[in-house]
Amino acid sequence: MTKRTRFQAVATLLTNGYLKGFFTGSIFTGVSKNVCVPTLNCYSCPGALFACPVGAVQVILAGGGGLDITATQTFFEKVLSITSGVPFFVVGFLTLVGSFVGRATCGWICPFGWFQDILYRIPAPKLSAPKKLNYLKFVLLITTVVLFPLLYVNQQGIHDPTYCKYVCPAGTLEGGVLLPLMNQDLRKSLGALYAWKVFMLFFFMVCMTAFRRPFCRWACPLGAFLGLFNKVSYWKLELDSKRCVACEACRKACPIALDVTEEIDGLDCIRCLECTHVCPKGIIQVSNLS
Amino acid sequence: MKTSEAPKIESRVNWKLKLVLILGLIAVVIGLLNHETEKIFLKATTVCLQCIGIG
Repeated sequence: MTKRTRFQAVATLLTNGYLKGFFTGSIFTGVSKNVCVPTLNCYSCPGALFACPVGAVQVILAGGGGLDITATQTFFEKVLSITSGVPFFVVGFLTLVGSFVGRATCGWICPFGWFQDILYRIPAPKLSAPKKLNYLKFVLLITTVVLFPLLYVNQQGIHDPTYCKYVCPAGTLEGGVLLPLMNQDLRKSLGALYAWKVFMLFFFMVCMTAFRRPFCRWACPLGAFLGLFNKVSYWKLELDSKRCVACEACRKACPIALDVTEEIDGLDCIRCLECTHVCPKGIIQVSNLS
Repeated sequence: MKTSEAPKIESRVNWKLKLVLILGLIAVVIGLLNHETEKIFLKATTVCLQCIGIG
């Protein structure tokens, strides 16, 4: 077991440490659920101790608020009223995390990322996908996480968290399997939407055996957002290209299938540091790591 | 020429990082003043029917 695998296991346990939930089919309701983890970890997972940032962003946007202005409010109160429908806290928190470590949370502490690393070890045909698919996660971020929850109202007059409802396979895996199994009322309510969500989960699971981290690369809106900070973050990867012997060891070891010499610290780099370990010349290093 | 350009690039990067950090901090403070964590808490402590595929 590598150091990173151990780290992933410990992080998964620490962020999903409400073990009682796995036996009772309930979810944690403690004070730590006021804040998010910088990973895709469904808050309806029976073990989850924190909130999911992608779900939280949709909830704040879908919750509306804003423009609740009265003449008696001070300027500062008016500013707060206007901004109450904007997910400042979550976006700010993710900005702070991203500006320090970029997308490293994907590589080191995300339970769903670890799940993908495990499934890729299953013996199956290993395939590569067109790089253009990597842009799909930005489309999903803009549409299903921001625009639809903000603008679309369903027949019941509710703004839906569209990404959670129609796309997120992590929610299905972490919450959608155990909770209906242990709760008869939930089980009776399962229908076409559940079938779709299970299909999405199985689709990604099959892809995970053949492609390297397909969900992170194609469909994770959190990874899309955190990846934006890879270029400016405090911790970065540096490559001394003059000493590179083009052995491609880094490309073969990269769990996200990056051409490391070309895309080091690109939008998709998850800072797993695998390339730094396999480089025979030791020319890939982490900057500002003392 | 190259030696004089290197510090310039470094300082530009640091400037961007500082700006991002400040914006992030401001956003967190605004979010806290707006009681955003309470809204997150309410959602996160009830079973999210959309997340698990019930709707």
